[in-house]
Amino acid sequence: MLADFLADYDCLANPIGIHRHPANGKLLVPTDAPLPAPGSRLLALTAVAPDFLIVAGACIGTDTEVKLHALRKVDSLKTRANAIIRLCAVNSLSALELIGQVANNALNYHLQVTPPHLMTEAVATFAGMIAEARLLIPPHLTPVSEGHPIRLHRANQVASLAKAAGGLGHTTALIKSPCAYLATTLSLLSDPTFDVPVCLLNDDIEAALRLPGISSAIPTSTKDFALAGHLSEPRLSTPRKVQGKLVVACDAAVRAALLRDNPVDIDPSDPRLHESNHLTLILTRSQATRSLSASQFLKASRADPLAFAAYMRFYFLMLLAALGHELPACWCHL
Amino acid sequence: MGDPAKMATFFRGLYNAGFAITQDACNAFNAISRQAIMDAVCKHWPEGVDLINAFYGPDALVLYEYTVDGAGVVAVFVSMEGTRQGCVLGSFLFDLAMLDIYNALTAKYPMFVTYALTDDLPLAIKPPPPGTTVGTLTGRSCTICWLISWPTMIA
Repeated sequence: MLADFLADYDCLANPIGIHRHPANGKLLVPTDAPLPAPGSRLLALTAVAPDFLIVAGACIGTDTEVKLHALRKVDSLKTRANAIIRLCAVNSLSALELIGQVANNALNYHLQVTPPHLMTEAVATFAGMIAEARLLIPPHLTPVSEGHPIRLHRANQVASLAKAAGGLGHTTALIKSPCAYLATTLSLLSDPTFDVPVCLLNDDIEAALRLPGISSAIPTSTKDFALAGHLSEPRLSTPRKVQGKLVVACDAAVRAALLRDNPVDIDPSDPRLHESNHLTLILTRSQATRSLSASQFLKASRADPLAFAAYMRFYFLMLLAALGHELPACWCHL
Repeated sequence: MGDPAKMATFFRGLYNAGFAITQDACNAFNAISRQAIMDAVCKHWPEGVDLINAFYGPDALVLYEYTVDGAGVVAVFVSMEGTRQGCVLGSFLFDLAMLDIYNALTAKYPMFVTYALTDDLPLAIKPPPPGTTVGTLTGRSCTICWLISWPTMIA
């Protein structure tokens, strides 16, 4: 029957120039089903993909293969990140925006269509790659990655926040992954085009909700959900708005954690004071960051690459002084 | 996020219970017969015939720049098949030309779950109820229900 289907497809489509793709048009067989017998008519018409198949750009197959596919995708994005890093020497401001808007969004579709529990390793690798790229501005200065681990962690947390929340808008894939997948599944379940039994998606949805921090960050009432961000952008589809609200809710959780761990009003003898000072500093500079980001394409307001890079390091608690180095001369202008 | 994401998620869900195949058309937009496109426009969108004729009626030159051993080469040829490179109507015209084929296939094979997304035509077959493992067929462990249903499906 399947062979008939393929033969009919060829019979109808070939005369108008359409042929099945020899590499992608394969048959994916579940692990508990028998393989077609050698020499069968079906095998003359198509090949068997033992482990995975690409459908609508998404890898479908065994968990192992889906994980490997995600890692391969992340690996292929390193070239893009490296190209952006090279731009740092010319225009750090644009490079920083490109890291956020191009590199950091390059995995978005895969996050939407892959269950987050299968993306854990790839997402961690990707988030690390983005964080490293952010720290390499500009590449010829001392690597900031040698800084204090807590400072770097805080810096990356702040960078992941929306600009409105004092961050750089570099929403980390760790947050986006479950939000994007949940938004996709919710959208799919409400789409009358697809007759989807909920049970087919339950396992993946539950796995997404089990990820740390997600279930506690998602608003529990429709009112809270409506208040989670102001996403009135008309060009966004409903699923993107849902995803956006989930991300905003998770952002709020990250920000709350930052404030909780770094209380501004603490005892002067508290050893965390040093950290909290920096937190206060970066939160009060959010307005300046927004101004810089918004004006990058205005010729009159382009920032000098070195000065901007130094500013961003200061903004993100990455003071060279914290590393025990003397401040470079360009800091005098800030 | 649009229908591709939904379709991928849908078939991922189905994979947990069945199997899926995909039928990506090879070089689809460039390869599809332009006459088939024009015929489909006449049949399904007669109001658009004049518009499509204006853009696709006359032949047009295509400039193609590439590099060979570091030297830039510009090739010029006439666009006679497929949708035009970069044409905003390309996907729509391809869909229109494939509409009758997809409809015919889904009508003839209602037992398969099919959703077309331009040149993607994923297909899924619902699995049989869970059964007992009875042995191997062609060297692969399988369930008794698969043994019963498989010959019908792949005949």
